[in-house]
Amino acid sequence: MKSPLNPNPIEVKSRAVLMLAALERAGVSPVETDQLHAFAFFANVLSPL
Amino acid sequence: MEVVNLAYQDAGTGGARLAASLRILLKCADPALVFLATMPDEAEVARFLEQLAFVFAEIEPDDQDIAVGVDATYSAPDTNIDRVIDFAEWRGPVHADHSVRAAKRLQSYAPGAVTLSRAEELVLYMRLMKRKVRAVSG
Repeated sequence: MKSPLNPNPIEVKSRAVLMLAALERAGVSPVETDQLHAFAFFANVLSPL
Repeated sequence: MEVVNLAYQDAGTGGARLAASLRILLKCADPALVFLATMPDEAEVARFLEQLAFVFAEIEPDDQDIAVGVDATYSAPDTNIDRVIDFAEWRGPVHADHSVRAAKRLQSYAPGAVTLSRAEELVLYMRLMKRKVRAVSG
């Protein structure tokens, strides 16, 4: 079951792939871990838009 | 996925951490991306991430980490640091983050006849973060 404390691991991996693909297409490549964390943060907080 | 660079980085207080530079090889990832695009939720997430990535790329690489620190949610005292990345799937619009509320407020600065789209709110909010980073870093 999905919950904030038990996210589906396949979904987590697919979102990571989608984030890296989006950054690659936008020219942010290679991406440093700090950059990836920053991007993931904004993706998370702005996703309800 | 290709690891371009991997090195120990000083993490302060005598510790160290692994810092990596990564890239996805789109040609190799294409079958997975095509499959994900067949799922409506994932296709929607992919569109959102692409819009975000292009405006995120406008922020200088060294400033991207600083931009997190000036974000409305990150700097809010009621933000739970233990929250997982959930793409808002477990929260309704009532519990939307400060960042989303701030982005929605940008509508009030638009000319009367202009209704901002979701993508425009996203771009304007991220450009605001870029300006705030410049302001704090002088």
